[in-house]
Amino acid sequence: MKTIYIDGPLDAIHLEEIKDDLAEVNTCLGDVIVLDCTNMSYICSSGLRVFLQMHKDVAAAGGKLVIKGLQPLVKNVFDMTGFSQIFNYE
Amino acid sequence: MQHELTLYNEVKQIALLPGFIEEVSNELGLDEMLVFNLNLVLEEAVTNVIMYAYPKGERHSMTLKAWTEGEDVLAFELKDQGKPFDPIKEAPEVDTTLSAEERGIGGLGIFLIKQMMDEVSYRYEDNSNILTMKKNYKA
Repeated sequence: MKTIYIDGPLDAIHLEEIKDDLAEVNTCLGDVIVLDCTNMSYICSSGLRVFLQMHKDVAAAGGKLVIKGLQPLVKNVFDMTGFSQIFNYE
Repeated sequence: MQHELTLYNEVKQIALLPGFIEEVSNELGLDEMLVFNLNLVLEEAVTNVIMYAYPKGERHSMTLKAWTEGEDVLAFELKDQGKPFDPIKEAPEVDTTLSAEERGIGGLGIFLIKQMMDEVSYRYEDNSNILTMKKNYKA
């Protein structure tokens, strides 16, 4: 299992900054990967797209992506976009 | 109430949006959820212009205005002089019921803007794209 922590607001700027951290997923696609969002205070649509692509890549390789600790206002965005049904949650 | 912000077509410029919304919020007393949603709506609208309105490498500006109408409507207008583009019409449809495998990755930004605001309209006028977004901030 591998855990990736996402801290602060995940806007387009922050997304660019953590691109390399997120790319680490590509080294263990067949594994269980936990995205710990406990301290992620915001997410933009580019962030959602990255999560979706990651979910697809991991699933295609036989692994599992798990999302942990969504804050209520972020969870609302997941609900609104149907992403709540797509991901596995811890 | 009226506020105005000029932004350049660089991704770094979205860092100016939280301060802009805070100014509006301080004046109108917006709740935490609306502030969050407005941040998202304005980031999506501005990012759209940054990514698609102008040829790569060219520096241009856009203006964002906020004002109130009547008792309870908060309005925003984003204006740029890029190529004519109606984001409401052109954005791909988003079907939130599809599975991950079936879902495309486009159109989410505009979808969120339409979900979070009460009224979204686009017009092309004076060589400018003008996107207007309104929300009842007391509802």
